[in-house]
Amino acid sequence: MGDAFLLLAVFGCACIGLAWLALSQNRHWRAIRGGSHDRAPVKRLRVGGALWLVLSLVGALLRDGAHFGVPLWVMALITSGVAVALTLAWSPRCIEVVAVLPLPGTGFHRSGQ
Amino acid sequence: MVASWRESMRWQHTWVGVVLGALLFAIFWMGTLSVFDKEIDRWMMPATRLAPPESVALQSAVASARQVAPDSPRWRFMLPTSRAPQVRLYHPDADGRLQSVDLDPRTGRPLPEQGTLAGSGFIFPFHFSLHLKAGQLGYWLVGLAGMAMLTLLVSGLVVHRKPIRDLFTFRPHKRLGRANLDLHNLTGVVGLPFHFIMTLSGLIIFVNIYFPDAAALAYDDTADPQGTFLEEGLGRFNRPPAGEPGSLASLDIMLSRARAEWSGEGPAFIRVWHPGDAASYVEMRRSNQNMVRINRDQIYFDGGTGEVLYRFEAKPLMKTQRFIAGLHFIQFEHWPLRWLYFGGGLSGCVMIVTGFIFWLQARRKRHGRQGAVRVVEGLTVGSVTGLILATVAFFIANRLLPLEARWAGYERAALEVWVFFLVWLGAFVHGWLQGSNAWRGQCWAIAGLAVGAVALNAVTTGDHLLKTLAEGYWPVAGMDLVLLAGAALAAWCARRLTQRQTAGSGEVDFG
Repeated sequence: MGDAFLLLAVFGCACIGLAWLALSQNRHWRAIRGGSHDRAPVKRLRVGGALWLVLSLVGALLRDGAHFGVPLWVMALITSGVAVALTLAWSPRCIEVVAVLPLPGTGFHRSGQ
Repeated sequence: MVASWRESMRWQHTWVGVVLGALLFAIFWMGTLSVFDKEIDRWMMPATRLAPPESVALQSAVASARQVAPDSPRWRFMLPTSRAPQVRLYHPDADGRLQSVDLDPRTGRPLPEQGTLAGSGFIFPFHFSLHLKAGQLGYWLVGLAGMAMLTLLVSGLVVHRKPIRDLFTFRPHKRLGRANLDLHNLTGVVGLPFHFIMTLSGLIIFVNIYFPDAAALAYDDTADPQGTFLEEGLGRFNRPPAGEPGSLASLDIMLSRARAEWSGEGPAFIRVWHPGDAASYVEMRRSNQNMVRINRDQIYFDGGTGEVLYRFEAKPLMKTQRFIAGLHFIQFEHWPLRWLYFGGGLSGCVMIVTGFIFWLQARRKRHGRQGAVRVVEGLTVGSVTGLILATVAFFIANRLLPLEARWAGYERAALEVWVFFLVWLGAFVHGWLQGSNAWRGQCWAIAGLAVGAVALNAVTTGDHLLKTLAEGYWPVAGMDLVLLAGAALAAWCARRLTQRQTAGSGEVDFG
């Protein structure tokens, strides 16, 4: 049960982190939020995205230790990267839902408006 | 200078990709299937669909080995795992060729001969040797493709220009050519760590083949450099036979002792050297199930007394090499990683196919279906959908051929392989004759045969999908589900290609 929860956390954090990184890019920000990319909280999205990825790594290390945890994390990043790209293509609203998740400590809400 | 350098990278990426793409796809496809080679074995060898045993009847297995291979210089018993529940006995025959017999782990008795090479005997060796054994030609071709793949990954990044900006870009609603290139970039760039590590580790595994003199150079101050390398690096222990009859002590006691030394972990295999001889000895190699590294930990016991003769644990450098090899071989027990590897392998296949299609699309606009375009088109169809079709035909042949099948001097296992290669050859011919229209026909054929394979498994073994799902027998249920998913994907591709052909006129246009 604990393993399943941690596995979910590894993928969840990786997906959220990569979604935030994707939103820090002009093309995806405009496709989802519309308007100018100048208003995007790029720095916060990038730092927050990176922190989510670190959380994902912590989850993988807690679940499997270093030997299996690092390969699991790398493969989770790859899978989540493809998943984020496909979601951006077919169902961008889902990415918007992910993007409004606040990262504890950043005070980031609703695309920083 | 930068522009010309990028241009040279583009040239390299284009032409190395086109020349070696078919070979690379075959290696990637077979490697992807090899992730589940043991599960394919269960599907193709119904007699081995056993529950993993609590304990193994080792003495009975030895008795069976005495009957099956009484004069063999060695017996190797691969012990059951959760993925391969049988005991597999390997022994060289009188001509030195390695033979194998599957034994029931509970009784030690031979299981009915299944007459197939299945996943671990055909698909897995195809991945690294292409079954071209003469002069190790297959290993060298795979090595060449591996080196080429590494250069393709680097040149692809250079050619791309904006790999980071386009990292998450996929535009399926644009024209198929644009979507195809996006998919090539997405699978190539996002999957880069996987493709790079798998390719590099594949080359490192066979370092002794590609750099045969490396060991000799490292040990050139010894009388027998290669022998010293084997002894110090891999832990080889040798003792010549005495030429006098001898008995074999209890393997169970030796097994308990090995487990005690390895913190409760058992061996992956037990090898009896010179069985029946007074100087026989028993080798146990530690299991890989709980670690990434392919283990070299060994304990050798005296066959007659059961006393420990020699222990070996690899040194740090060899452990590093074995860790890298372990990342590639994925012999450990970790189901999420196993599925992720499967997905990673498929993404590599998609990357290669989309690269091929991009090349064809660009040339077809300029040259129509002339010369090289026609050749590459047939090559692409045959090496992509043709190989998938041949694989499914291999499964179908496995379920259709009777166990006692023989023809023109070929055993049943060889007949299955013949079916594979003949269907593959036919797919190439079809591709060259039909051009891009062959994609559609072969996609429909894959869909039909994959559904047929699932149905045949149900009819010939009684293990239909509902039953295996209800019983939670995942090796066979998983194989059936993947076949059905593959059939659905192939049918979807065929329908989309049909729609495009209907919308245009004549041939399928990817542009």
